[in-house]
Amino acid sequence: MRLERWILIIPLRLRSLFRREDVDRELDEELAFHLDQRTQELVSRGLDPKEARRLAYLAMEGVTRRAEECRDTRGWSFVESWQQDLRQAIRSFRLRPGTTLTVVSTIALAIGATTAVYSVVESVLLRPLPYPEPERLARIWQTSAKVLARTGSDLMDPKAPVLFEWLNADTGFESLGAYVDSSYVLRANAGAEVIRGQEATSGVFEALGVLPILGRRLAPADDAGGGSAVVVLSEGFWRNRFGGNEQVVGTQLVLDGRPHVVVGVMPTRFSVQTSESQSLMLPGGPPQLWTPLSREVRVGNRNAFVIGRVKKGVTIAAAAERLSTVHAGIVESGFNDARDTGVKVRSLLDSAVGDIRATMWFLLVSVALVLVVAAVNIANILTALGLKRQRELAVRAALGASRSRLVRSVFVESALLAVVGGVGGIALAWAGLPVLVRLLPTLPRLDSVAVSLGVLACGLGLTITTALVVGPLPAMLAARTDPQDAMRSSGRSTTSGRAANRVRATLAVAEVALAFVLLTGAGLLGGSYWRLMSVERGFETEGLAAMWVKPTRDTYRNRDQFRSYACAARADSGGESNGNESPSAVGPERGDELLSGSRRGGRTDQRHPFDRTRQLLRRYGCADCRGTRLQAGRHPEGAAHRGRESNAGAEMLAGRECDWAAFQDRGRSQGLGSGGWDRRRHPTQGACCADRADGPSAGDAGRARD
Amino acid sequence: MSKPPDLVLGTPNLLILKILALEPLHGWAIRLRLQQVSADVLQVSDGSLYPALHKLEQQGWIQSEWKMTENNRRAKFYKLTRLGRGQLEKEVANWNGLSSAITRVVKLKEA
Repeated sequence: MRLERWILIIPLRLRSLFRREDVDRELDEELAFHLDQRTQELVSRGLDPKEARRLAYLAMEGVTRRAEECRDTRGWSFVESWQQDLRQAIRSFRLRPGTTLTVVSTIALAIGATTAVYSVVESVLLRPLPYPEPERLARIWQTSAKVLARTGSDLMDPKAPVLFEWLNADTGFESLGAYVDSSYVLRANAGAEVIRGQEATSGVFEALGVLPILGRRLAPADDAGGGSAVVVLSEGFWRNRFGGNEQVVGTQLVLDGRPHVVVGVMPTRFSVQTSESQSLMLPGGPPQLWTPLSREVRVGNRNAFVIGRVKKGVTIAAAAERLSTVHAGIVESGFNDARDTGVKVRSLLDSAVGDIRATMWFLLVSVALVLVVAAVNIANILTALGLKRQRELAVRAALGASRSRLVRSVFVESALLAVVGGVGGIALAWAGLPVLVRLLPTLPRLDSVAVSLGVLACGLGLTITTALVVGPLPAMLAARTDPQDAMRSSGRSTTSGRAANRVRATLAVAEVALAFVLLTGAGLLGGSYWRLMSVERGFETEGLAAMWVKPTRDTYRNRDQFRSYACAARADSGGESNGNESPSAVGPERGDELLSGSRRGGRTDQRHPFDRTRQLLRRYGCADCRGTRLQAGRHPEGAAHRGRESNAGAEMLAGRECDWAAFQDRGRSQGLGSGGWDRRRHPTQGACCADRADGPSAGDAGRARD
Repeated sequence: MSKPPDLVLGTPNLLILKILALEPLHGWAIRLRLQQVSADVLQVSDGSLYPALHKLEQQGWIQSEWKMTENNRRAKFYKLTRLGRGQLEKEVANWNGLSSAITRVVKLKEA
């Protein structure tokens, strides 16, 4: 029975789908036959043929409508009428290109902005860290009241000896590791290059649980030091330097003048967080390679990140408590580096995201409000448009279009606008995201920002919501219209009914209210930003650049050599700053490295870089501080620059306008090596580096000193 | 032109199927036959006839075929299918049930 039915129906359905013209022609013929028969019948009853024809048509109660009803029975009518609605929508867009463009670009801009910002929020806040079971990861600090007094936060990065005590103890952590940001001078064919990297213990690799794509990770044996120096490369470095050559494991890389054996390559997602203050002074970008952080090396004043993975079934809080107990034991035993300190543990995600969370949410809410304003705007435009089109809709109703068809056709139009706008918005998000990332200040985990599928879904969701919210409004207004009224009134004026006016008024009020909230928020934000930008810094930032120099320890063994190098660099780069061509100030900003040339024995210096710089200025005087505003006293005289007693009365230190490009050129010709200028993040900071193997000779330096 | 009384909802199907059970006919002839048989009491309006026919066809109850009329004009003739016969029996049974029920109600004696 069922089967028989389908045998009868399927050919019919297929024919009406694929041979639609034939089927329609047959329908017309069938109806025409009926009309002819009816006319003949009436004529035979003595009616005038013309009148008979008219009555025959009347009896059908709308031939087109009846034909449409017949078509509806075929089951494909919804496909056909959607096609019709789409075609109609495109026609009406062509009639009103201006309005269409406005609506589409409004939607596109709103959705594009929202999606781009959402991408950032997602990458920074929502996407878990790219490691297995990220909720078990934590970051650990030492806490100290002394540090609190100096920096305003009691958190300090653990000292290496303490760290290794922790590692030996039984804590709630499955694995515990530390790393410090570092840089390496890589000797290449053409001079030298500073590579950003990290020194890490094997625990870091273990805790994060990322497997290498080649070779091995750093192993506990590497932590012990001794043996040959090893290095693990990042995937990016491996691809750029070695062209992804799989034979790289076992080859040698000369870093800081020492050969290192490549033991493995880590995938890109193994990107451990770097410290922000440090990144000011290092070449930009993610770490390119990792060398072991061994027990003998004191972490010194560099920020050591300590991360750990808690044991299965142990909460971070419980692990923290356990570690505190262990630490208390270390303190009690009179361990020097642990005196008066405590321990603090936070989940890794929290520590990575930090205080930025509230700001990001605020930003997201603002953008969502922008989207709402845009949606209201679109609704308003479409409503006005719908009112203007009352006559058109009335004509279509009079011709036999049912109410639902009318509502649907207007709905299709709005939905099409929203879809086109949404697609444009997603394209815009894709194109705009890199721009947004560049505009934003340095945010944690910003380098992992990408338009993800979730974001795409979010964008599409917004599109569809906009379509569904905005679409029906004008359509429903159109449906309420009585064709006769519309036909009558639209001839005279385009004034709309009371209900339509009320809707429009509500929309306008909502829009103004939202815009007011947004503007207020934006104004406050802008004001804060402006105040922040105009904080008195004590020196002019215009044209100021910072140069980061990394002399190798083999060439520069003691303080005198470094001091003379600093002065030589100054002399080489224009000496006494007598014109715009040369930098007016050369001062080592991060002096400890220059001073000692070695990580060994580097003083723990937790002071603000500014203090450090001022201190260094006093010590070396290799800087011209004419660009600074003094609170008292006088600038150091040229002659006083040399000795460490240069008692500058300067309370503040800085430089003045200078032409750094010229400086860089000069530096290069003097063997300063390739300069890595990191203008993206810190427009007033530059970086320059040198492999001192081919730098100014000792003789040069000596001359400069004299 | 006064309008014929409204038909009970759903009866057009029954009427059309019954008429086609006698012989294949085209739309106009169906209309005439119905008028004749019911002595002008029952009428399906010109407008609603064709949608009804198309619906029955799409249900698989009737089949159509283009043939020549006695006046030598091409017309679309409908005939009942086996399925349609079954449907007709069902509708007739329905109708008998309904009409006898109504009859019983109508014949109730007033107190």
